[in-house]
This record gives sequence, structure tokens and C-alpha cells, in this order.
Amino acid sequence: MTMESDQSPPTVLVADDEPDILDLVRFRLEREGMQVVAARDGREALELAREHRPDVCVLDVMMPKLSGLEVLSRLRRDPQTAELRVIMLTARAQESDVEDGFDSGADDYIIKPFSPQELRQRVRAQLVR
Amino acid sequence: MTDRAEQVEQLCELDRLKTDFVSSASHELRTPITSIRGYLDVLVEGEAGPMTDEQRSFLQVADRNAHRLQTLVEDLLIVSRIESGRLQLSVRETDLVAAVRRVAEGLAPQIKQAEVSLVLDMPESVTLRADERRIEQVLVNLLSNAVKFSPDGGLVRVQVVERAGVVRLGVTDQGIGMPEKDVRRLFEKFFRSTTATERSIPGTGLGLAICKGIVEAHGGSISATSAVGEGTTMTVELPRADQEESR
Repeated sequence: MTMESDQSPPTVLVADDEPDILDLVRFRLEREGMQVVAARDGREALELAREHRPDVCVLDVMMPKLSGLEVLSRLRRDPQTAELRVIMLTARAQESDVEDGFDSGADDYIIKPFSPQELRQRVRAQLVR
Repeated sequence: MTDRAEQVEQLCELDRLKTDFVSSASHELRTPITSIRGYLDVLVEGEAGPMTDEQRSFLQVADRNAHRLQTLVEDLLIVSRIESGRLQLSVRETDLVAAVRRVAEGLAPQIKQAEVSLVLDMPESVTLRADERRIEQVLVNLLSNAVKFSPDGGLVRVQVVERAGVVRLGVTDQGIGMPEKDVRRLFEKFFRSTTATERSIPGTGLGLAICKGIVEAHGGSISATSAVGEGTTMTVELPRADQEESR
């Protein structure tokens, strides 16, 4: 799917427990013409992913209730959501978690602190795949 | 247990607590700084509406300082990891020569601004098993120091030689240098040479402590020689192979 050819805007689920960061990411992706669904913890992320079937999910690894990695593995286990594109957000110190993330089937990961441009590019890259 | 042994143990425990404190404080500082820089960036980029040149330049000052804070926090985190032996290396085949070139390219604006000539005296390539990102961090530190302390029109020479399984990297400047008593303390964290502080040259005194920690985690060593008014040479020695896989 490409943003140019698709009629409806692509939907991106963003999950981060830091509301200020979440608002900022939402602001920037919406300016890119994407529709953003925001979740503030892992459980909400899982529910919204099942409900909206977003084109891309951006999940923070460290989240209350359910970690991003746990959300990822539950999405992958459920045939309804197994094919969703998932990008993990992770702090530098958790790089070994990132490898775990790939094992549990993440499509990409971004290391924090990331630039808005980087996020935009990675999300776009998943959208055109 | 003897009194002395008990005392030593208490001091070690205190030191661990202090390191833990620095580490968690730095983590807590990270998130708000990321947020501040993100929002400043939106404004500077004009994404939230047009800005006058003056407004933009003021926000850029705020961002530059937030960036300084961020660098300091990241440096403190690395120092605390080094001190607690928790510095993780992702070791793989790394070309030191290519790394020097990349870092030199990244520093090109500073080099140009300081009107410094950079001379690279290196073979085609020298590979070693190392954490590429950490080694680049060492190179950035050494090269930017050399540039920072150089006079206008000064020469900075980077030399890489390999001999008997040891890779030696030298970074030599013709800068302000420092007295022998400062050289001895140069790798202590927060230490700054008198020649730097007298001239109000900015710095935190963490860079070389970090370099030492990274180089030693690779099984290598770092040293300095200097003379006031003549310049400084920083020398890093790294084992070519048979290194520990990671820590």
C-alpha cells in the first residue's frame, strides 16, 4: 500500500506512555497526512490494534501494563493481527531487547532518542512495503 | 571481619549507591529533554506556523542548550555504566581507518570553522574486533578536542599504525597543551586542564574519562603526552584480534 495511491489516509497506531511524546508524534504524523491512533499503555495498544487494524504500529518497548514486546507477540499469535507491520521504539540501553523484538517478529525498530525525520521515514518505509 | 575490611566494604557500597543514583537520575532527565527538543524542533521547522527570524534564532539557542544538557546526561549515563562495569559492547569486525574517515567527515564544519588542517596518516584499512559505535565515540572525542584546543591555522594529525597485533592510533595537535601535573589527571572524570579553564574553553571533563572506559573495555589503553604551548598527543592502543567477545 502506498499513501499516494490509497484513497483513505493510512492509519498509524502509536503507543508510548509519555503523553507529551505521544502528542508530538501524533502532530507530526498527522501533518504527513496519516491518521493516528494513540495508546498510552500496552493493553490499550493491543485493543486499539485489534479494533483499527492500523497500517503500521509504533510500539514503545517500555510501557506499563503490557510491554511493547508482549503486545507484539500477542499481535503475532492472533491470525487477525499477525500481518500488521510493527516498529519498536527502544532506548539504547535495551538493545538486546531489540534482538528479542526481531525474534518475536518486529518489522523494524527505532532507537531513542530519535529524530522526527527518522520516525517519519521508517513509518513511510513500512507503508510502501 | 577486621574494621578496615568492613570500612572498605561500606565505602564500596556507598560508591555503588552513588553510581546507581547518577544512573537513575540521568534516565529520568532523558525523557523531558527529548520532549523539549522535539517541541522546539516543531517550532523551529515552522510546522506549527511561521516564525520570525528572531523568534527562530531564540528557539535555536534554547535547543542548543537543551542539546548540551542531553549530551551531558548521555555522558553521565555512560560514565555510570563504565563505573559499575555495565558498559555493553556490541563487538564485530570494524575498520578503524574507515571510522576515522567518517568521524573526520562529520567534524568537517568544526574543522573548517577553526581553520585547522587535518592530516590523516593511515593505511588503506585496519580491521579489528570492536564496538564500532563506541570506537567512533572515542574518535569524535579525541578529534574534536584536538580541533578545539588548536590555534587558528593549526595542524591536527591522525596516525594509525599496526604492529605486532596492536593497533595504535595517535591524535596530535599543535594546541595550547598542558603541564605534566594535568596530564597525570587527564582521564579522571570532571577533571579539566588548567590551560583549558584559564581560557574558558567549554567542556565537562567527562569526554576523556569516557574514552578511557571504552578503550579499556576493549582490552586497550589510552595515554597522553603534552607540553604547554606546543601541543598534545593522545595515543590509543587496541589489540588487533583475540579480544573478548563482549562484556
